Amino acid sequence: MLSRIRREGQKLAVNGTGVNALQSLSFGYETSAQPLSTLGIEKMIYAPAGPQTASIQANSLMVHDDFFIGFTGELPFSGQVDYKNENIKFTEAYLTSYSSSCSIGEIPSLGMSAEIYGEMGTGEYLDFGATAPHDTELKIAGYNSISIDLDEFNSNRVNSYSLDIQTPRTPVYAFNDKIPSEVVSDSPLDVTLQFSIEPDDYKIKNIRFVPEETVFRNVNIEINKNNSTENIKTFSFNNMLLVSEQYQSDNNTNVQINFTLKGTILRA
Amino acid sequence: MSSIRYDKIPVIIQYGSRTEKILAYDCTLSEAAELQPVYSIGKKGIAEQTPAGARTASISFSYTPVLTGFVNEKYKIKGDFNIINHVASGLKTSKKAQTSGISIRFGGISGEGLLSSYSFQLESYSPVECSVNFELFGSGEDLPASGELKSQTVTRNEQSAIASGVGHSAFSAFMTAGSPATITSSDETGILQSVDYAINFDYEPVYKLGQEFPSSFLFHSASEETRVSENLYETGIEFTGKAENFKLNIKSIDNANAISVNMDKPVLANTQLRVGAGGIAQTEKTIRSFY
Repeated sequence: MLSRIRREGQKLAVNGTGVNALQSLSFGYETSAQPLSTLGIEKMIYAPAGPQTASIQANSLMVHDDFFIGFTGELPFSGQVDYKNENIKFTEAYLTSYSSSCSIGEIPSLGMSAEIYGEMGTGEYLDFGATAPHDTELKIAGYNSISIDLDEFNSNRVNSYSLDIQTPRTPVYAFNDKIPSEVVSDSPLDVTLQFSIEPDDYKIKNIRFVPEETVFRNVNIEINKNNSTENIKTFSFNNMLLVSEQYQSDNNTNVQINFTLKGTILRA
Repeated sequence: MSSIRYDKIPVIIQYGSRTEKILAYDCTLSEAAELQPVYSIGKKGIAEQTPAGARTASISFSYTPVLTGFVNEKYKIKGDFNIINHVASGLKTSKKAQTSGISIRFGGISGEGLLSSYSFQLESYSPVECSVNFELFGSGEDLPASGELKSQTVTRNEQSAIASGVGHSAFSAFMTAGSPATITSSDETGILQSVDYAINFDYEPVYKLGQEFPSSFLFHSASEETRVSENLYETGIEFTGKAENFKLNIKSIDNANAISVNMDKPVLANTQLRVGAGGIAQTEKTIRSFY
């Protein structure tokens, strides 16, 4: 009888340490081989038309510590995915995006996407040895333990936040090599922060506010352990630019305003 | 049906005993008759348009070179299978008059041509793409191009395969210590990211009275240029040049035979440093050789 692989049969480890509270995981590659379509073609032949890369995406709950935020810098990471009796390894993975979000009724979540410029697949090119779980004690955050510091929220109910940080990279390939000679971490990093509120006295800005009345905000999001004041993570951004506001309503719901702040982080 | 699809028009070249079917992406045949108007005093308009020179034809195509194969099919001798590169390398140092060239067949049309330009572009991790132009010459009263455009019978093979014989930059080693194209700062060597190579040949056609087409061509000179892109910049271009040999070795995906291009003591002609917001600094160097 064919068996199946459930969640308990999988494990993601990054730099030798297991990632806890993983909710979803995907990785893969697409061949760069392209057909050479030529005059008088006899048979289809394929040649690599670009560098071979792979990608990995993972989502996890926010527990105890944020595992992936540390990779928004310039260093790559390696890892492995165990499933049943198989073992997939990857090297030279560079984070390309990081996200965090939470809505009423949800556990705050994290997401990451990375581009793999090194190896990926089965094979003995890397040995982490035994992997250890990242946290032995799970400290799960909750929507009721988030504190957001932004002027409008004193009198307007926040329903959700969504944070996205793009960390683009530029691989530099030399001839006679299949992996990049270097991967340049581009600057600045683009930060997008979206809030959804149910307003009371929130005032939508005038569309002519740029540049005379440009709205910059300092934002602080503190995420604590569920039903606790024990801090798990704090996001702090200064001078975020208000870039959009969207008013939404229908017969059966309260008025909702979604607004987006954008900011940048310049690399050192 | 009169339309002919691309897969029925192979491009085949022949040089001596060697025949090569080109992995061509496109092919253009151009013919021209050099005519001039004849005016006459006392006549309104022109008397006629009359020939002022021989009819000319040229054929150009872009292709990816196949590098593995037999130089001598009969004796199964392997070597630089790339006919065009082989001819270009030999021609630039040749002093002989050219009385025969490379035969080119293109969908039922054929002609014999002299290589007038040959170039290739190399980007990192990409197949090599070459462009070539031949000036077709007639002989005596024979036209430069003969035949007619016809659909050709091509043997089909349903088996797909990796193009293991094509030139590819991911498998090619370049240069170059001491080359003027190599940039080395105090502690780092530049990463070569692209190479554009081109060579052009100049010939003098030798005509005889009573014949429209030249009886032979005298090779006069060749100019060779390579432009390389890197990520480091070396200030202080030398006015008198910096002449050291420059060698390109292009290998196939299966790491077999290579196109070899040797530039003889090229001189650095210009350099450029460019950076745009959001990008990384790119440098470009041009080196030239003349023969």
